[in-house]
Amino acid sequence: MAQQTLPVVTGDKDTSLQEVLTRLTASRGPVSAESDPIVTAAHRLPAVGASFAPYPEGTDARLRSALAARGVEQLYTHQAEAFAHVLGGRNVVTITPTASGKTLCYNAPVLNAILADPSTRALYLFPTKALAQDQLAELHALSELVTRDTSVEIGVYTYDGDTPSDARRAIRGKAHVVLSNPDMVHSGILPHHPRWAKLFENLRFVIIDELHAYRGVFGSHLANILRRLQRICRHYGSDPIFICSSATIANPRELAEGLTGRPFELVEKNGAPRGEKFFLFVNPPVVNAQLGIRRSYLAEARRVALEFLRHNLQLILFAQSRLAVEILTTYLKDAFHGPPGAADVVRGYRGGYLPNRRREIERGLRDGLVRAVVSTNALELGIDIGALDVSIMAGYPGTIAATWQRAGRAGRRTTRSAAVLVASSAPIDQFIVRNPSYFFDGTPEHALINPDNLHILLDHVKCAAFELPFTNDEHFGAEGRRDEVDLQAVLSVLSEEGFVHQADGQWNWTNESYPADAVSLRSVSSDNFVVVDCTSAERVIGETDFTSGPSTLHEKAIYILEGQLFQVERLDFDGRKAYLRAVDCDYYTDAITYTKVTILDTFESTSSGCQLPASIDASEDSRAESRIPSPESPIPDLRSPIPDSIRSHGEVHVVSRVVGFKKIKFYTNENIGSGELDLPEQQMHTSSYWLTIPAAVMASLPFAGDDRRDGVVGLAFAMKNIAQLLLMCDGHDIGLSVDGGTLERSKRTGGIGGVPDALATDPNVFIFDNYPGGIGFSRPLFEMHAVLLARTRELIAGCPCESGCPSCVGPEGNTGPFAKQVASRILDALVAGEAA
Amino acid sequence: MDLSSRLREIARGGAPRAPVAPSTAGGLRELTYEPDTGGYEAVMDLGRVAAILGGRVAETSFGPCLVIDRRYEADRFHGTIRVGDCDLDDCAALAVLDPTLSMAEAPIVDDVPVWARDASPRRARERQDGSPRTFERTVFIDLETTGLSGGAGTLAFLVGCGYFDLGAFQVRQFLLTSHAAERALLTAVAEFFDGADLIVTYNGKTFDVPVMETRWMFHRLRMPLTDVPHFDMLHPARRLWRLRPGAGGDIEEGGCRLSTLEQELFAVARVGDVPGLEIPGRFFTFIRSGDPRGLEPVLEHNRLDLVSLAAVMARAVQLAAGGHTACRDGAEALALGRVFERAGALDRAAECYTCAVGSARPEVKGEALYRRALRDRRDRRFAEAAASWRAIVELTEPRAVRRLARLGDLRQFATEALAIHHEHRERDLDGARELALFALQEVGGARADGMRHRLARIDRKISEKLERGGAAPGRRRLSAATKKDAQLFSS
Repeated sequence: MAQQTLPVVTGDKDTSLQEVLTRLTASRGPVSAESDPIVTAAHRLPAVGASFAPYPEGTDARLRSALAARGVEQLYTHQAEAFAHVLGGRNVVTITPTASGKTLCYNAPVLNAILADPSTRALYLFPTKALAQDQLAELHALSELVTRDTSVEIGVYTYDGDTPSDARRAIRGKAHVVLSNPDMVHSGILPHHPRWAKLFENLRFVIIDELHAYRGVFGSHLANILRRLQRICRHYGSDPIFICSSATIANPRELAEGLTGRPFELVEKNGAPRGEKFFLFVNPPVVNAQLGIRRSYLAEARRVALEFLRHNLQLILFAQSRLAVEILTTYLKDAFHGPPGAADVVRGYRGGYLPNRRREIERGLRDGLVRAVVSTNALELGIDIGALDVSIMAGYPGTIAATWQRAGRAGRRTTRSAAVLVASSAPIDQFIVRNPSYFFDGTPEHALINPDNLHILLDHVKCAAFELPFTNDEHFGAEGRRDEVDLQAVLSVLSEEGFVHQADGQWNWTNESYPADAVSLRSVSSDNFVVVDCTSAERVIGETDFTSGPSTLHEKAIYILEGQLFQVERLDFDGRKAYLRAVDCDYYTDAITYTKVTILDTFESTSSGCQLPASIDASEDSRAESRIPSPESPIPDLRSPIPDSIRSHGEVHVVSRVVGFKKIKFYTNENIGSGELDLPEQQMHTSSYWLTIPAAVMASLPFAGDDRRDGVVGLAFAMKNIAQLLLMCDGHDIGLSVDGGTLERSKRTGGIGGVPDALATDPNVFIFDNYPGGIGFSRPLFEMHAVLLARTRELIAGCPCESGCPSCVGPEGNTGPFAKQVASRILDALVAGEAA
Repeated sequence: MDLSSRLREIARGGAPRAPVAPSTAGGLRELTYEPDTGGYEAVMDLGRVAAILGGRVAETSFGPCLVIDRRYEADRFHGTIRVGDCDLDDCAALAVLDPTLSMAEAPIVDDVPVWARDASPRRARERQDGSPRTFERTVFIDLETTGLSGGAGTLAFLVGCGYFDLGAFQVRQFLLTSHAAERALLTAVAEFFDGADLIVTYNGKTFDVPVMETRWMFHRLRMPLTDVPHFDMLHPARRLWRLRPGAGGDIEEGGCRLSTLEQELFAVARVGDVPGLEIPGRFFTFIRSGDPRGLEPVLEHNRLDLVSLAAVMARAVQLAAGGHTACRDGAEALALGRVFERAGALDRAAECYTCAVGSARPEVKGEALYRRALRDRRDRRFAEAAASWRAIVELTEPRAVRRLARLGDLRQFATEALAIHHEHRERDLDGARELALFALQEVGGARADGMRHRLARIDRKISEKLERGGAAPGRRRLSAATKKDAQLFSS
């Protein structure tokens, strides 16, 4: 059967695009609703021409002719710059938007070095196996081209969990370039380094692609893995250069230096050309002003996508969850079939699809058979799907960096393209679409890591001691860094516990375990709950990390997996297992968690009150400058102290217990029932930022006690959302608690379900790192305190709802009728104090 | 809380404790950990250790190394086997047990850096002139390690080596006395291995040899074992003894742990043997305290493993050399037959199967018949093969027998084979049809489809024959043999 393709649109594509954009922006809605427009921003990003640079001195002629054969006659400036840094022996991180030829930034110097000295070895790290596979083909083709007229053979192999064991030995021997991922390096390569002697003796380059993916816990683990890697390299006498590529983030150099402990050169000027691009923000219209309910953003995304599809434009539609992908795929398939007899023109794409199916979809996108693909972030990272005409995001991807990356999926180097962001009713989404300048003019987020989190550090010190004995004067990671933990103290404790033994000037591993097995790179502790479906026969269908287990797997909880609903029948807390059965119901559950935060140690605390010596301010200021560049914003610099409000960060003890749950109906989000639970409490030490609202501000509020409490809770809700935005983290990375507050600071206690029974005279709002030991969010949040308050104020003030909605202080039913007013008053008082 | 207390809390994996209110001033503070008295730093007195363990200190270019020698005289008994009888030098038999051994060239190890490759002149010469390998110096190896996972942190703290010397079994053990002494140990072991032309291990291809290679490469020392032929006794042992009664219990090693085999084959009873799980801990205690007494049972355990390894190999060689006459029972004969068949010694395999057919155990007898029938059919002895198929069908008549592992399958296979036999060999279409019909009642799934297919083809052939003027089908045309076969199913 011959496959029919859609008519190829070339010349009139620009016209079509223009037409759709005009139609969309025209629907700004009636004048009366101007306060809440549908299209909140229409930005035009002008085309940029290419800037080229000659090959750096020392480029091998074979490499040059191979690249010429692939149509690369000249290098873009950023490629040449990165290449030159590597030739000069300097570590380099390159900012690389989509389709800017980033792979050449590292493939060129690596192949060049192998041609010059065939013993050269390189290790490539990708955050996922799929990306490594994707790069393999390209690198393989290029290396064959480079060596076609020579006797040199360049071995390029992936080495990951899927590599068959009988092939591993050959790969260790033959591979010049090993493409792997952090998990494999951690548990499969480093602990077996003697088997990899050939690689480590000759390791000249370590490539870290998608650098921005390594933030939070994953990044903190990677930093420790790289410390271990560099120890092993020293053992074998090699000293590799690091070549990193990153999407646009605020601190690529800082991140690269934090991950590797080495100084870096930054290449940020991009030489690749870019076509003209239009960027639209769409906010679904309000359908119930009182409750602040908007039209479903999925329906709105569908509408926008169909406009483009009907004009024969090829598009990618990003959704936030696997479930949303399936829903949107169904919507689009129902509404758009293409000409009769044509193959599937609308496809879904997400993790969980089999590799063959994915390859087929990617091919279909490249040769135009597939007109629309609905995807999770699986297609955000560098998988090659060619360049499409339009990128639509159903829901804000969570960070500026990810948004630009998704937008970059549309747009060839010379043609026009469009990107559309359709906001959901989540507070972050609403903030972004109502404050377009935050997105278009602001700097993207900082990627934060905390390699010296004691939990993570301890695990990796064990792994490192297994790999190679530590000496009595050794340091782990860059010596003299700010948060350096005394390695010898760590080893002494490990010695007490029997893991190592000190003798002859070194610490030897004296334990029969294989420590890498006990570490999971995607979480702080490897403890987890296993999800068992016992509908028919018992089978494991998933796992959940230990901290979120009780809130998602408590008895009677609804667990959703790929659209299928399960109800938890029994939670075996000690056995770490939850037994589920498939059910058919129209609600989901939301756990009520009781969280109590106790301050253990205040690292820094400032108020305008005057008590603080000037020296602290000075040191704090200089630090703020060195670490967090002042965010570009129309708001005046608010980092100066605010009178009477106290910001602090420090170490806290968090006790949380799931005490009950609510049943919430799908689509309407009605609360249709609840239940009580009795689960063991979970405790952790972590770091936290907290805001203390002064008693005077509280007392000045013309509201009753309960309403004041609602206001503080609503304020906390909004603050957490803004914090998430500022920290470039996921919602579950940070926790929230409001305390009752007493005069004795050491005995502060928290509230129930985020709602304290009674509020103290000067309550605290805690935003803590939701991982044992903390992953480095608290200090930056402390430093961004003023921005945090200002943005929270903008969010609440800019929200068109009357008295609170899920997009600002939380739905009115949850927080009380005056929450929004009280929260605004408190913020006004705190921010106004600054003017005084 | 200070750094060390926090680390201790994390290292112990407990939940963090809520802070204690400081108001309990004057109350007793509880010690949350064992104080570090620094008592670990014991001085390792090599001479004393050697004296306690009955060893000696040997000098190497990297320092001293502790060596313990023991001799098991030829007349001594290991269980029921005489030590002198374990010294069997039969290359042909070894080649039967492990056909890869006869290959002259060792596989090229290409993940080994050049500096680590062995360059023994004698072996290089041997390879060049193509002279057949002889195993003059066989070394038995067994390691005791600090863990089972492998990797850079797993040490071989005891390298046990055994070899025959004038009929007696000589054991030499190299003991690690500190981490710093590992180079000395590895050098001494490498020198010892230099003369070896065959090494014998139990699971050494997967464990012992990779562990040793990792150690040598860790210290960037020359590796002596890269091109020495390696006979890993585990795999032949599994082939030979997995079928024995009661072997199913130990899934991990197919019921073929060395300690299980020594007991069953030679009635060796160890007294006070140290459990494998305890072994790493005993070494760690020794390293910390300098007191070697806890290691004595480990050394003994290692020595007994080596003697047993030699004995088990001797028994395997004896079987491979003697063929079916050396077998104790039908199960062993069947297993040996399979080993012969795998090595291409088909006649000897057939002898073993014939011997195993006499077994009283239906699963052994059934498989022996099956394998003998396959051989007969391949050699075009169709009548003999058919007789075996019939025997299988008869054997599996009782329901209880049919339910035994594999026998149900064997019955189906045999039935189908009989139908084929009648259709193609006897050219007795009616008989074949009859058999296929009966067989169809018994089989299920894909095999039933095949059977229906066969039935349809037979019917077509019969009608073609009729068209050509053949006689009408009928029961009266059944041959005597077919009748007998058909009756097999009619009960």
